[in-house]
Amino acid sequence: MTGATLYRKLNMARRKPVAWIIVIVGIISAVSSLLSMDRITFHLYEGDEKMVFGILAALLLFTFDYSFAVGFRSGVLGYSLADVNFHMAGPFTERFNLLLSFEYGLSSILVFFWILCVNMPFFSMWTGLNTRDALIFFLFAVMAAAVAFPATSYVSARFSAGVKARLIPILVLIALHFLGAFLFIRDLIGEYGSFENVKAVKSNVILGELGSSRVIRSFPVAGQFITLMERALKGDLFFISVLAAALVLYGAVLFLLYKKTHFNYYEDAYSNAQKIADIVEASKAGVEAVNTGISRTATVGKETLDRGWGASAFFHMHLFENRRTSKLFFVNKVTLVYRAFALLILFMVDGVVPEDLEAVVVLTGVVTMLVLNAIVFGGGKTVLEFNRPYIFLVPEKPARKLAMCLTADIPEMAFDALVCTIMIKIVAFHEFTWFPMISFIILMIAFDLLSSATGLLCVRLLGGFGKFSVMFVRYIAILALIVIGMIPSNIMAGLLVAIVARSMSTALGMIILSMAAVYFLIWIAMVFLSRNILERSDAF
Amino acid sequence: MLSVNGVTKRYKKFLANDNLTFTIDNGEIGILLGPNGAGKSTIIKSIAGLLKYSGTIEINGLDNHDMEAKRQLGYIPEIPALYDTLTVEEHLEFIRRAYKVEDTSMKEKLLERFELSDKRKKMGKELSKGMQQKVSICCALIHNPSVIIFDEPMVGLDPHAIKELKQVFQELKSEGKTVLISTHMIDTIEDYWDVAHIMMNGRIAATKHNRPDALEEKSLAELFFEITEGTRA
Repeated sequence: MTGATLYRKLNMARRKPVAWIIVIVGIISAVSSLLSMDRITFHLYEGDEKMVFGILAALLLFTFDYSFAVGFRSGVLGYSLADVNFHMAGPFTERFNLLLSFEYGLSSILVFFWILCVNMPFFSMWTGLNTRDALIFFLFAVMAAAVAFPATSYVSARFSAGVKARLIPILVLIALHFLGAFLFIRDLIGEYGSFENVKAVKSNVILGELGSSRVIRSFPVAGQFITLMERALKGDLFFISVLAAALVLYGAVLFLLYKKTHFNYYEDAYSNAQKIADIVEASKAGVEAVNTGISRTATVGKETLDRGWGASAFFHMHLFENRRTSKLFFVNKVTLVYRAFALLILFMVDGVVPEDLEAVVVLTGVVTMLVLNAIVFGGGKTVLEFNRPYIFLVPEKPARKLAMCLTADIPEMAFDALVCTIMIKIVAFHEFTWFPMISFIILMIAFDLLSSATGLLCVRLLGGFGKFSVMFVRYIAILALIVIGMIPSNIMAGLLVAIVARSMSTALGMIILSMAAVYFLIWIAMVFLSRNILERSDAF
Repeated sequence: MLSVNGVTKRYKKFLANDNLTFTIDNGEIGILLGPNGAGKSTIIKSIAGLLKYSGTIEINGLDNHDMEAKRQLGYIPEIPALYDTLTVEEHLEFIRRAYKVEDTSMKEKLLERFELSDKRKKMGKELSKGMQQKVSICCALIHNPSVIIFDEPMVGLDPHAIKELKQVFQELKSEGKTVLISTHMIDTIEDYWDVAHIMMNGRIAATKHNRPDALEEKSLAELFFEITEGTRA
C-alpha cells in the first residue's frame, strides 16, 4: 500500500516544479523572517515582556483552535474521485486511506505556520520578540497542532455520517471561548474595580493580563501548553523534553485508537467526491471550502428561482444557491476567526498610539482588514463556475457575466465589512464616525470584489501550477494592489482633504472613500481584462 | 462468484436498492439492465465497498470489505476519474504495485490491446473521456481479478473500443471469471450475457437467462421495454 502510494505521490510531485520552487521560497522566507528578528533594533514596546507573552499565548491558542478546526475537514473531505476509484475500491484499508485526507488538512496547517512565520518580524518590531523566543513559540505551536489535528481528524473519520456528532466538539470549543472571554473580563473588572476602568486600560496592558490570566491557563490543552511555554521562555527547557515525551505517549495512544477503530467513512467521502472536485478547484485559488459554501448542506425549501435574465441569471442563481444553504449564508465563520486576529493587532496599535492620534488606529485598521482579504475573498463561488460550461456558453458579454457572478457575493462581503467596521469602532470610537464608517463599508466591498477578481485571474492563469503557487501569487498580488491603490487614492484624498475637509473624521472618510473609488475602478478594469479568461483560454 | 443477499440501500427516505438478491457464478456474465435511477450504479458501488447498506455481499465467499475480497475484485467506475498529473503508464504501474502484481508484462499487453501504447506518456488530464475509460478498464484488469464489475462501461468509448471490450467480456468468461455489467444501453448488450436482471425502482423486476431453450420467450429488449414502460409491475 505504502510503496504504491509513494510511487504515485512522487510521480505526481515531480510534475509540479513550480510548486517545489514555491515551497523552497516559502521555507527560505519563513527561516529568514525568523532569523531577521534579532537584527531588528526598533521596538515600540521594548521590554514589555508581559505583553509579548500575552501575544504569544493568544497566538498559541489560535494555533490550537485552527488545527482543531482543520482536523474536522479530514476523513470525509479531502478525497478526489480518483482516490475513490483507486484507493477506496482498491486493496487499501480505510485506515490507510485516511492518510490521504490528512495530507489535505496538514497542508492548510503548514500554510498557516508560514503566514505566522513571515509575520514574526512585524511582531518583533512591535514587541522586541527575538528569534529564540519565536522558535520556542513555534516548537509549542507545532506540538499544540500535533495534539489537536490528529484528534479531531479521528473524530471526523469515526463519526463521518453524523454531521451533528462531528459538530459537538466544535460547538464545545466555541462555548469554551465565550466562557473564557466572560471570565477574563470578570477577572479584569475585579482587578481594576469597574468596567469603565477596564476600558481605560491600554490594550498592551490587557494583552499582558491575557498571558498571565488563570482563565487562559486553564483552557484545555492549549492552556497547559501556554504555562509550559512560559517556563521554556524563561530558560527552563526541561519541560520541553517532558512535553515531547508526553506527546510520544499521546501519539502511541492515538495510534492504538486508530488501529482498533472500525472506520466506515467511504460513503460520505464518495458522496462528497464531486464537491471535492469543486473544492480542489476553489483551493487552487486559495479559496477555502467554507468561503465558497461548497461544504454547506443545501436543502430544498420554498424558495423559487424567478429572477435574472441573461448574465444576471448568474447573479440570481448564486444568490439562490446561497439562500438554499442557510438563511444566514452571508455569515462566514472562518472569516470571523481571521477578523478576531485583526482585532488583536488593532488592540496592539491602540495601545501604542496617543489618544489624540486615533486616526492612525483607524487607518491601521483599514489596512489590516484589507490585507486579511488576501486570505478571505479569493473568487468565492465564481471559481466553481469554471468547472461548468454555462459561463463560457451563455451568449452575453464575458465581463458582464463575470461581474454578475462576483457581485453575488456582495451580501457576504457587506456583512464582513460591517463586522470589520464594528471592530474598528470598538478600538477607535471617537474618530470613526458615520462618514468614515460608511466609506469603509464601501471600501471593503470594492476591495473584496477586487480581491475576488484577482483570485479568479490567478486560478485561471496559474491553476496548473498547483494550490500553493496560486495562493502565493494571489497573496503577493493583493498586497501589491493595496499599495498601488493607496498611491493615487492618497493623492486624491490629499487634494480633497485640503479643499473640503473640516475635521479629522471627515478627512478620514474622504481618504477611505478615495481608496474605495480607486479599488472599484481597478476592479472594473480587471473584470474587463479578465474577459479573456472566458473568451480566449481553454474552458474548464 | 459474486453473491448479493438481501441488500437494501436507502438515501434518507429514498429507497435506492430494495432487498436485492442475486448470484453470478464463475464463468458467467451478468447484466444489470434498467433505466436511469433504477438503482444499478448503487448496487455496483455497494459491491465495490463504497456505500453502506444492509444485507451481505460476498466475493468468492468473502465479505466484500475483506482485503482479500478486494484483491479479487476489479471495478470500472461510472466516472473514469484519473489522477491529473499521472501518466497512463504510471496509473497502471501504481495499480500493479498496489495489488502487488509481480508480472510486469500485463501492463504492456493491456496498453497494446486498448490502443494506449502511444498514449502511455500522456497525463490523466490530457486524455479524453473515452481514453480515461480505457485506462480505467486497464487498471481494473491488470491484477487479473476473478470478479469484475463494470458500471456503464460503454459510455464514451469509440466503436473499436466497444468491440474490444466485448471481446474482453468473452475472454473473461472463458477464463472462468465472474463478470457483472451495469448498463442502460440495451442495444450494446447483444448476446454475450448469461443472466440479465432488469431493475426498476431499486428492485429486480425480472430475471432472464440466456439459454438456447428460451428462444420462444420474449427477447431481453421486449421484456425490458415491457417492464420499464409500465405494462408490467
